[in-house]
Amino acid sequence: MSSRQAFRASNRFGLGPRPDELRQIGADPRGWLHQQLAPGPRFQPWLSTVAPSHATLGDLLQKFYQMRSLKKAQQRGDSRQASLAEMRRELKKSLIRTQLQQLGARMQVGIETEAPFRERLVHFWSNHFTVSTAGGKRLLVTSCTAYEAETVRKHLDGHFADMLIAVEQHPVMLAYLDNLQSLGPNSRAGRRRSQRGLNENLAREILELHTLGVDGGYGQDDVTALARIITGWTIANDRQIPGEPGRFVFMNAMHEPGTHRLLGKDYAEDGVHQGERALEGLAAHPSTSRFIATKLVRHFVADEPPAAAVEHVAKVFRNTDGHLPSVHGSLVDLDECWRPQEAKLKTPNELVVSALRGLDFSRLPEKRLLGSLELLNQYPFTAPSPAGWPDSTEHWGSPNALLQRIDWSTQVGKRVGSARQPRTLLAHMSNPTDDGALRLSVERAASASQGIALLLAGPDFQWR
Amino acid sequence: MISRRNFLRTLAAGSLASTVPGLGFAAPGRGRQRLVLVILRGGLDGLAAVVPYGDRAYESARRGLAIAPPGDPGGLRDLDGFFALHPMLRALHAHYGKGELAAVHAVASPYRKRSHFDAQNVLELGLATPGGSRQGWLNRALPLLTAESARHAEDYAMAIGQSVPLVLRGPEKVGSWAPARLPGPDDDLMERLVALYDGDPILGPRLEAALNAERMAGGSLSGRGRPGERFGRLAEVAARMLSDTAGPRIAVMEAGGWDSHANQGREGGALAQRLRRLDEGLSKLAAGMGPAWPHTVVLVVTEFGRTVAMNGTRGTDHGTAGMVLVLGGAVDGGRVLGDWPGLAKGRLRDGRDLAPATDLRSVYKGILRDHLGITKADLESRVFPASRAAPAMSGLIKA
Repeated sequence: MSSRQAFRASNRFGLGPRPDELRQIGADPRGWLHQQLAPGPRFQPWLSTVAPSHATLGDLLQKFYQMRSLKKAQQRGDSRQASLAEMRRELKKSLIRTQLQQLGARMQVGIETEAPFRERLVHFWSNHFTVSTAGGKRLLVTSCTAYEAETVRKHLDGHFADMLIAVEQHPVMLAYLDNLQSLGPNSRAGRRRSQRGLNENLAREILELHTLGVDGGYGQDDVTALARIITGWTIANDRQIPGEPGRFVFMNAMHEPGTHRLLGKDYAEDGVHQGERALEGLAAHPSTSRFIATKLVRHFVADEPPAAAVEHVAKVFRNTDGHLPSVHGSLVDLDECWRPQEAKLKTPNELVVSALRGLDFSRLPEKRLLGSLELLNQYPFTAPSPAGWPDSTEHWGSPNALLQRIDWSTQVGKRVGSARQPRTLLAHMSNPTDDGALRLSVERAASASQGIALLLAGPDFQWR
Repeated sequence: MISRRNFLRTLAAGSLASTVPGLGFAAPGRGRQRLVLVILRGGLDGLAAVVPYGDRAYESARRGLAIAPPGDPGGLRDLDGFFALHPMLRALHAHYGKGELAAVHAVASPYRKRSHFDAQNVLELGLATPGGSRQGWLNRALPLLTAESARHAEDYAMAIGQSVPLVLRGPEKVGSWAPARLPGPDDDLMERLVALYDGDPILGPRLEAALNAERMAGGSLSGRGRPGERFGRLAEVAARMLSDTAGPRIAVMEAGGWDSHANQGREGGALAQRLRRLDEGLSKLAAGMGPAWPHTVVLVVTEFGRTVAMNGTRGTDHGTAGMVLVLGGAVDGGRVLGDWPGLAKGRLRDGRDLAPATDLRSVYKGILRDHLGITKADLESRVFPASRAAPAMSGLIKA
C-alpha cells in the first residue's frame, strides 16, 4: 500500500523517482509533498548561470541599434555590407549558444532536484503564463528562462495576484503579446501618430488565458478597457523610452488617460497603479478561482476534472486570496489525486525528465537533452499559442507521437546500454500495481539496451 | 538494422481493415473524393508563379524580377495568352494542358495586415480576423464529411508532416504521419513492445493505428531526406495513403521557406528552385494517386502574396493578394480564374500590393461544396461563420 502511494506521489506530483526517492518518501508521501511547499531558501546552482532578462534584452536592444546604423550607412553607400551580415551571423550564433546553455541548465534542475513537486508547479505556472518564441518572437530565446525565474519561481510562495502582476509587467510577456507599442488613442503619443493605436492582444489573453477564462463572463468592452489600462506598459530603451534598456517602465505619454471601467469596476488614473489594481481585481474575480482550479485539477487528477475537486480547490483559492502554497497544498489533500484509476499521460518533457531521473543519467550534453525534446515536439518555450502546451492525452498521445517515443527510448537504451541494470531500475521505475507483464518482459530482455528500451517505451512508463 | 517498417510486413495484413467499416455504403461523390491541402508558408510570390505577362505594366512594375516571356529560351510557359507559369513549373503546365489545373489570381484572405503569424492563422481558421478560435476550418468540416461515410475523423483526415497544422486542429481527432527522425526499434523489440501495449486499452489501439499508417505509407521511407527532398517524400506518402481505398480522404501538407525578401531570382535562383521542387512534389502526388486521381483535388494556398515591385535586396516584401492553384482530375481546369485588378500603379493596394479581387474563403467553399458535397447552409453556419461577404466560387470542379 505505502509503496503505491509513494509511487503515486513521485509520479503524479513529482517528476518521476530518482533511484532512492521512493525509499526517501517512505510511509508519508503527503508529508513529503507538503514539506516541498514550505517557503525557504532554495539552492539552485544550475540556474545561477542564467543572465537576468533585463541584461539579455538590453544587450539585444543595443545590438539592434548598432545594426540599424550600419544598415543606414549601407543605404547611403558606405560599403559596410559585410560587417552587417557578419554581425547578424554572430548574433544568431551567440543567441543559439546562450539559449542552449540556459535551457540545458533548466533541464538539469528537473533531472536533479530533490523538490520535484515544486519544480512541477514551476512548469505548471510557466505553462499557464506561457511565453513562446514561436510565431516570430525568436529574439526572446535567451530571455525566457529568466522570465520564468523572475515571475513564477519568485512568486511561487506568495499570492496569485503577485505572480500575475509580475508576469504582466515582465518585458518578455509585454514583447510576446505585443503590448510594447500599444498606444492609447488619446495619449500624447497616440494623438501625434494617427496610424498606430491600441493593441488588444495582451489584454485579451490576460482575460481569456491568465485569469477569468474564455467563459469567465467578460465582454469585448472589458478587453478594450483592460487594453487601455495597460497602455504605456513597455520596455525602456534609453531613447524615446527613457530608462535602463531592457527593464519594465510605465510610459505615461503612451497611456490612455482617464478612468476605465473593467468588469463593472471603475479604475481611476493612477499611473502604473491603475493597472496593478485592475489585475488585483481580476485575480479576485470568482471566475478566476474556478478557472485556475480547473486547470490545476486537470493537471493533477484527470483530463476531465471532477467537479467536486475543482470546487474544493476553488474555494481554498477564494478563502486565501489566492495564496499559492495553500492552493497547492489543497491538491495534495484531494482524495481524487490518490485514486489508482485516474491516469495522466506524460508530456514529452515529463517523459524525458522522468527517464533521466529514473536512470540517474544526467550530465548529458545540452544538445542531446534539448534535441530529445525537439524530436518529441515539445521544445521549451515554443508552445504554438499563448494558451500554452495542452494538458491531455488527446494532444500528446497521437499514434505518431507514440512511435516517436518508442524511437527515442530505443536510442536511449542503446546509449545507456549496460551502464544500468534494467532489473534494478524496475524497483523504482515500475508501477507497484503493475500486473507483472513489464517485469517479465524486462527480465526476458535480450540485452540491457533492450531492457531499458522496454522500460522507457512500454505503455506503463507513458502514464503518471 | 531492421526498421519498424520492415517489421510491419510480417504483421497480419488484416488488422487495418478491421478499423474501417466497409466503404461500400459511402454516398457516391462523398466516398471517393479526395482533397489535398498544401500550405506554403512564408507568402509565395504569386506574381512569379502565375505570371500576368500580358499586363501592360508587367515589365515596368516588376523591373528586376520580370521573367522572360513565352517563346524565349528558359522563359515563361504560356497558359492563356495573358497569364503564364514560371518556367520551373513544367509538370503543372502539362496538367494545365490536360485541363487538370486551374489557377485563381488576385486572391486574398480577409486579413489585411502583413504578419506571417496572423495571416497563417486567418488562412487556417477560416475566420475574418486572427485568433478567436483554436479550431481550423477543416476540423470544423470533418463532422459534416464523416457523418455519411460512417468513418471516424482520424481515419478520414491525415496531417502528413511533423506537426498537425492549425487547419486540422480542434475537437475532431485527425490522423497524422511523419517520417521517422531516429532509427527505430528492431523487429524483436517492436514485437515485445506490441505485446506490452496489448494490455493498455488507450494506448494499445493508438500504437496499432500508428503501425497501420506506417504500412500505408509504404515503408520505404526512413530517416530524413535532404531538406530539398522532403516535400517530394511527403507527397509520395500522401498519394500512397489517399489512393488506398481503406485510407484517408483528406491530407494536409506544408512547405516553408517562401518568404523571399532577398535575392529572389527570376528564371533561376532561390525561388525558382523552390518552385521546381514544388512542381516535382505535386507531380509525384498526381502520379501516385493512380485510379483515385479523377476524384482528387489538390489545393495549394499561401498566407499572402508579395509586393509587386522589387525591394532593396532584390526580393519582395509581404503583400496582399496572391494566387491559388487548384489541381486534380476532378478540377475543371485549363483556365485562370478571378477578376484581374491590374499592375498599373494606380491599381495597387497601398501603392505596393496586388489588390484582392476574390476572398480565399470563396475558393475553399467552392471546393467543399462542389467536390465534397457540403451544403451551402452548413458552409455558412458551421464551417465558415460570418463569411457572407465571400460566396462560394463556382466552376472549379467538373460537373
